[in-house]
This record gives sequence, C-alpha cells and structure tokens, in this order.
Amino acid sequence: MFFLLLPLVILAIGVISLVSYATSMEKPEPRTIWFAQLLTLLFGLLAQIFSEATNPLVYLHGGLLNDSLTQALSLFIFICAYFYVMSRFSDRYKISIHVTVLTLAAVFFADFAVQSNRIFFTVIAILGMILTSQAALLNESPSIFKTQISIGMIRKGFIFLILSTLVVAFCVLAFGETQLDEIQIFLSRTKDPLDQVGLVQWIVLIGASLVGGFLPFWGMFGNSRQKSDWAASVFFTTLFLIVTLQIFLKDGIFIFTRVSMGAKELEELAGVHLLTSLRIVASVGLIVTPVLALAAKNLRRSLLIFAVEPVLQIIFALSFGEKEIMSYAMGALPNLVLALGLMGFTLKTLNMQPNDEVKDWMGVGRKNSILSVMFLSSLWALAGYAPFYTGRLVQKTLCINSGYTTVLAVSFFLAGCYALRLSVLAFQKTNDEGESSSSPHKFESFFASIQFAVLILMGIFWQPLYKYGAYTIRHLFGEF
Amino acid sequence: MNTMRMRGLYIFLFLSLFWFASYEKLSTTTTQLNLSLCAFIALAGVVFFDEKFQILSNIKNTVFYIIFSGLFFMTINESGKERFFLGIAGTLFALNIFFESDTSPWNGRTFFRTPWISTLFFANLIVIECIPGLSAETVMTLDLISLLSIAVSEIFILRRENGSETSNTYFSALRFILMGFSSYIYGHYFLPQISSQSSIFYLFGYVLIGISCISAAAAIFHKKSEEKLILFYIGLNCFLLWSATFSKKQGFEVIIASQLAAWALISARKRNDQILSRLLIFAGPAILLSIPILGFVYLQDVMKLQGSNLLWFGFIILSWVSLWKLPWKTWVDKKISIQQGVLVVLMLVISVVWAASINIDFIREKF
Repeated sequence: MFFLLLPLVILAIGVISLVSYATSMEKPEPRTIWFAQLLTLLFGLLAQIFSEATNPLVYLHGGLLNDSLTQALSLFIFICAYFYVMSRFSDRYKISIHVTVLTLAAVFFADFAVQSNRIFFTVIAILGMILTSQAALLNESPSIFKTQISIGMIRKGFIFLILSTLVVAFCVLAFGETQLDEIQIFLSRTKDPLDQVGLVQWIVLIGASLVGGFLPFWGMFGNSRQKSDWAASVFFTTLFLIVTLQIFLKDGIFIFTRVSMGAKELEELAGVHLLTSLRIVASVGLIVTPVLALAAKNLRRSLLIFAVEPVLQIIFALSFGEKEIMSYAMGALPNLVLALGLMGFTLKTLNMQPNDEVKDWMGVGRKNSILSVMFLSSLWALAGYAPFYTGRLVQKTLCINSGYTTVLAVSFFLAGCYALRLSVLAFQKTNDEGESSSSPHKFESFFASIQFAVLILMGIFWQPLYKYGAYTIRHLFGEF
Repeated sequence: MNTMRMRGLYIFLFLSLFWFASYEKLSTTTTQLNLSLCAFIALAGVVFFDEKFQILSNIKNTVFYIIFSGLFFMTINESGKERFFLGIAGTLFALNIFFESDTSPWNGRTFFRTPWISTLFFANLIVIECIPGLSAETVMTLDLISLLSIAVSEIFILRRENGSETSNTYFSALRFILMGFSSYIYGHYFLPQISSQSSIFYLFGYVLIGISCISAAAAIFHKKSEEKLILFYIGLNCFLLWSATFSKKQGFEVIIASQLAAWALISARKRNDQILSRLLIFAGPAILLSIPILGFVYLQDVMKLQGSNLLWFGFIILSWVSLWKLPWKTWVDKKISIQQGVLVVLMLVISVVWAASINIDFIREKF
C-alpha cells in the first residue's frame, strides 16, 4: 500500500516543502525552486515506475487502484510534467513560487484522479485540478485579464461541481456505491437493466467532454490558457486530456462493459449502449474539431482545439472494443504526450505571442527552420499521419469493417488540411522580417532533440504494446 | 557554350541517368517501355522549350529537375496501386517544396491555391484504400477526384505563378506531365473492368466531360484572353481525365496531348499575352490534330458508352470554336526561333505517327 502511495506522497512532500521554503524565506531563490520542482517530479516519476503491481489484491484496498492502465496514465502525467519543467529551463531565474507550487499541486491532483478507485474521489481531485491549474495559468496571464478569468474559473468549477454531484448521486442511488470495481460487479450480476444506467453513462460522457475541452466545450480553462505562457498552456491542456481519457476508459468503458468469452472483445452490459454512444461522441468531435481549428483565426485557439484530435482518435478506436485496436490506441498516448510537449517548447522558443493570428505564423520556418520542423512534425503526429505512431492507429482503425470509419477518413483529411496550412505558411516568403526567435539554451535544445528523435523512432519501430503482453484487456481490467 | 549544344549535352546526361539509374526498376513489357519513352519525350520537351534557361542556369533547378524526373520515372513504372499513388504523392511533394519556396505567398485560406492539396489527396488515398467498408467504385471515384484535384488546383496556381516576379515557370509543365501520365496509367491499369462499373462511376465521368464542355463554351464567350485560356485549360484537363477513365485500349492520345501541352506551357507563365500565345501555338495544333486523328479510333470505344457520345462531340466542337475565337493574330510572337518551330513540327509528327502505330492494327481493320 505504501508503494502505491509513494508517488503521491513525494508530490505532497514537494508541495509542502516548497510552501515552507517560500514562507520562511524573504526572497525565495527562483533557481532553487525550479530545481526542487524538477527533483520532486523526478523522484515521483521513479517511484511511479517502480510501483508496478505485484499482487493485484493489495492495490484494490482503499480508494486507490493500480493496474497497468492506471500505471501507464500516471507515468504519462509525470512525463508530461517533466517535459514542461525541462522546457522552462531558461526561465529558472525568474520562475514564480506560486506557479511552481500550483503546478505540482495540479500534477498531484491529476495523478490522484487517475489512480482513484472511487468516482467521488476522482471528482474531488478533478475539481482540485481545475482550481490549481487555473490559478497557475492566471499567475502567468497579464493582470488586465485576471478579474475576468477568475470569474470564469469560479463559474466553470461550479458547473463541473453540479455535474459531478449528479454523477455521484446517481451512482449511489443506482449502485449504492461509487467504487469502480463494486459498480462493475454489481452491473455484471444484475439481470434486469437499470433505468438510471443510461443517464449515468451520458453524464459521465458529457462530464469527460467538458473536462477534456471537447467541442462545443472550451475545456475548463476559458481565457486563462488563451493568455498565459505557451508551454504552460499546452502542458495543462495535456494534463486534462490524460485525465479525460481516464474518465472515458475507467469510469466509462470498463464499468459498463465486460470481456466476452473467447472473442477477446468488449461487450456492453445489459441495457447499456456505451460503446455506440462513445462512437457517436467521438465521430462528431472528429469532424467538428479540425473544421473549427481551420476556422479559428487565433493561432493558439486553433492549436488548442486541434490538440484534442488525437484523443478523439484514441476514443474512436477504443469505442470498437476490439483487443488489437485498443492496444494500438493505448500506444498512441505516449505519442500524444511527446508531440504536445515538443509543441509547447517550440512555440515558446519561437516567440509566438498569445494574440498571434494564423497569418503571423507566415515565414516562421525561414527564421528558425529546426524548431519549426520540430513543431510541424509534432503537428503531423497529432493529425495522425505516418511515420508517426498515431498514423498506425488511424490505419488500424480504418481497417475495421464499419461505416463509421468513413468519419475517421474525413477527419483525417481535414486534420491533414490544418497541418498542411501551417506547414506551408511556415516557409512562405514574407517582406516583414519581424521578431526573430530566441535561441534556446543548449540543455533545452538537447532535451527537445531527444524528444523529437523519440517521436520519430516511436512511429517507426515501436510495436503495439500488446505484443509484449501489456495492455491486453485482461491487464486493462486488472486482476479482478 | 552554344545553347543548343548545352541542351543536347544535358539531355544526353539525362538519358544516361534515365536508363542506368533505374535499370532494375524498368519493366520489360512493351506498354511500360512505350510509357517510359513517352515520359522521356515529355521531360526532354520541357528542357527544349525552357526559354529562359531556368533549368540549366540554376543548380537548384537542375537538381530539382533530376529528382523530379527520377521520381516520376519510378512512379510510372510501379506495378501496385498503392505504390503508384504513393509515387505520385512523393513526386508532387518534391515538386511542391521547390514551387512554394519560390512563388508568390499563399494566403493560407483558399486551399486550391496551393499544389499541396493534391499531394494531401494522394497521401490520403493510400490510407483510404485500406477501408474495407468502402465499395470499389467509391474508391475509384475518390481516385478520380484526387487526379482532378491536380487539374483544378492548377488553374489557381497558374494565377499565383503569374503574380510572382521570381517564380520559375516550368513547374506547371511538370505538373501537367504528371497529371496526364497518372490519368493514363490509372485508366489503363487500374480499371480493367471498366465496363462493369456501377452508374455512380459513369456519372462522375459524365460530370467531367460536362465540365469540359461548359469550360470550352465559356472560353468562347469570355472577353479576357487570359481567362479564355484558363477556361480552356480546365476543359482540357477534364477531358484528359475523362479520356483516361473511359478508354480501355487506346489512351495514348491522352499522353500525347498532355505532353504537347506541357512543352508549350513551359513558356506560357507570364502576364503578357505574347508569351501566353506560345501555349496555343504549340498546343493548339497538337490538340486539333490529335483529337480528330486519334479520336476516330478512340470513338470506337466511346461509342459503346451510350449517352456520352453527344458530350464528346460537344467538347470537340466547342474546343475547336474556342480555339478559333482566340485572338491569334495579336498573339503571334515573331521571336520564336526556326529551330523551335522545326522541333515542334517534328514532335507533332512523331506523336501522331507514334499514336497511329500503336493503333495500327485497329486502323488496318477499319480501313
């Protein structure tokens, strides 16, 4: 039990130590704060790696769960936080203590939301995540927007609280419990379909869409991620996307489905149409997302809309409940983390401003071709094109004999149009030289290069995880 | 060095590369050898008619030309459908990189104003091929749409290229060659069961020839000569696609028309009408001659397709009238050298004789 809690404990200790340091010192040293943040995340990451489940029974005690899926999602949370901190290496002399503490707290809540075995705990953790991440982004925004953003933050937190209260209340009413494994056992043993189940699953789906920022929702951020630093904006988006996936997977798919005998496929439990509902949600998102990204004039807005695209591809693939496709979908998750991490870093270094429009992107590639190529590669990876890993996922999903795959094909083309536009515009001739990009620190460049290399090599060499015995349906369920 | 000698040397080098570099790739079938020779003539034509030595005088352009030729040659010798479309996507990719780096900026909104959209279409085709849920005719129609996207985007790109002072002007010729050959290969290799296709597929063919007719008709009545030319160009492109789609045996006219037009297009990339005229001086007679001569043979195939005959005749008549209505007299450019004139006539004769020889059995049978 202790090992399971270790990453969370390390994060909590990190937060407490930093707060104590900040209150005890008159002028906290930014560099020390940055290193403390890095070390906390590093230790947390290591603890998460070594807290592999050995005896599954241990890991279902209490409110926490640690199966392979949780382990993977938690690891990706740590990795994306690590990327974020590394991309701010050159800011280490001016980093704020508030942002550092709030970032660590957001990571703590995200990890807790992923590991929680009770819907109630997940909801509370997400609420904490909303508040801490909003506050961190707020700290990095210009003061003129702060009041406006604060009101938005409270309003959005309130909406989420109402929705989550509904979920918890319905779960207690329908199943007498909010514990995931108990709910699943209850559903498996019930012969008559329950009336409330459909309602619960739709609230879960809407709640997850709201958290992830799936359209028509603009996420739980509003204007706060529109005005803040590029890297922070992309990092918190990634964090929320991972938690969204967790809600879709654990609170959605794995509660309302079970493994069918022999076929190694997921089948819906009595009275539930979750997989079809999920496919419809993903299909609508797959079409709307690239269209709105193409229509948006503001560069950041369009990119943050577009960041949802790979998650929708993953959810669309998962909605077929087929073993091999699911393993490909899970393999696309590290690709998402890598691509978004690289995107945040490159845009920050390319000196793109929050209010920049798509036309301001013109000619950026001629000023700094290496960083632009890195950014554009991550964009194509998000769009689902080869040689990146998501390309494999798209291809595999298209091979399923279903009419729904046409939606994915159309979305694939539209996403390609979006990536194409930025790729072509980056290398256009412009009369105005404009502001040149800042040169990244040697250490940052090295780190980004490794990320870039991994992104490409992963697409070429990385086999789906199920070939190594991980992420099979049995593993995703844990050893119940 | 004498210009002509320089060109000759270049073509000799190219010829060497052409035969030896891709020796393993060369197919021994007669059709593919014929295709390779046609490709060679088309590509050599671009160098011959490169008025401003854009290809030879600049090392970047020379390297690009060789890369393009190699990729193009490999593409037309591909046997598998996926590999063929991948080849087109790759060739267009190389073409677009050089095109976009040198032409007037794209506004980022109208997607057909960038040649990249065609590349994206082809790249998507490879993925779409693997969807088991799609029927064969849907996939084939998508293939045709992709081919058409090159033709349509070409119209917009032509304007963009004309608007630029520094742009190289032979890109359109290369795109045209690629499109013409791709249509031909697509029509002949990938549609063996054309007569058994569903009505959706035929409908698309009718749409294409319909667009050709409308464009040709519009070209007659349009006031501006440049617009006339563009409209005619649309018609020609659609006609080429349509030909490739419906012709089963005789399709070389597609290549011949496209290569002649490509040779001519090389010098037709500036605003003033004098240079534009060369397109018509070179391509006009070629189209006028090749359509009736080969058309007769071709018509035998087309006659089997009920309903499209009228459209076909409509296009022929309208295209003749639209060519007739163009202000030929004001466009005559006396700067065209005798050597070029001789070459044009020679190419024309070779093309016609060649096309006739391919169809010789059929002609003997009929006469």
